[in-house]
Amino acid sequence: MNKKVLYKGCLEPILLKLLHENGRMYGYEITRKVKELTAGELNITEGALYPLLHRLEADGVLEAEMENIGNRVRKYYSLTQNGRKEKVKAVSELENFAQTLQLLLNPKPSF
Amino acid sequence: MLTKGQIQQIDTYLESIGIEYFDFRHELTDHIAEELERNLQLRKSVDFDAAFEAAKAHYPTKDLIEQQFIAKLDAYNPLKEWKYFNGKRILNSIAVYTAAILPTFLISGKNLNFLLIIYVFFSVVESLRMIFSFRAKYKLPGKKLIIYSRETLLSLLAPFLISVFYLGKSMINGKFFDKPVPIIGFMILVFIMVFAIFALQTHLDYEKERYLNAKRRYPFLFES
Repeated sequence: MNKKVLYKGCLEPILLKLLHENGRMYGYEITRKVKELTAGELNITEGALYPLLHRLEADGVLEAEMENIGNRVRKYYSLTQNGRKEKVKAVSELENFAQTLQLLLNPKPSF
Repeated sequence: MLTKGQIQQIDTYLESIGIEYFDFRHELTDHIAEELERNLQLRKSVDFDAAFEAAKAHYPTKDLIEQQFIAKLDAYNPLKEWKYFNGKRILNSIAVYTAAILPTFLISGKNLNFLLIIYVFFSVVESLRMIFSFRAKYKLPGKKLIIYSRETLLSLLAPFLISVFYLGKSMINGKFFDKPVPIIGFMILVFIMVFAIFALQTHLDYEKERYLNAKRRYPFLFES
């Protein structure tokens, strides 16, 4: 099965967790960080990342600020108050999902 | 670090392939620029032009356009515009509508088609005047701000297209004078036209606020 499909639904909690831990981040930094943390296993494409960032910003989960970096403008994202609540919910849902998968993949023998 | 000219080159390229949406282009320019900087640092022998050509291949135009489309949809929320549809504006639109349909009771049915043509012409001219005066007053920074939405364009074009279709059909059939537009149809079309003009005003108020907010928060974006 395509790895991308498996990771697709996990992107939002991963993103929220990263922003929670790092305070504020910009798009390219997020892609690098995910690649680094997963030793290259998960490679978020900009095609998946930016639409998600924009949707979360429009939903009030993230807030953005722009900064002048040398010769260009950079957009930083951070969690809003609502975003912090969403992060707790999304990460907990992902953990439950992972546990359920574990149960399915490695069922405990019943006596 | 890339020079101002190299950043401009990335930006110009993105604009040339149709990435006009202001917020998205800034982000994409930064993304590509950072990737290029890393690549140039890693491979000292590669020059900017060669690295940029490789980056272009890495970001297919089709994907970028698709992302821009999603970004535009996500950032635009028509519900936010409704706050500009205040009591005064609703009363104004009712007054304009009443004044516009009053002649239907005073003129003969045969002249209704002419009246409709005058209204269609007026609504198109008025809409264009509003759009152009907005663009002239709120000068855009180096990068374009999109001030139209699908909703605005649809509400502006719908009465125009329906009227042109109806009147055009009457003209082709040679029944322009014999078969005037039914009064109820006329009233509905005029209602849509009046609504479209006030909806455009509302949309421009919303865009004006976005523009002024952006100018206040990020003045450096507006420096030429």
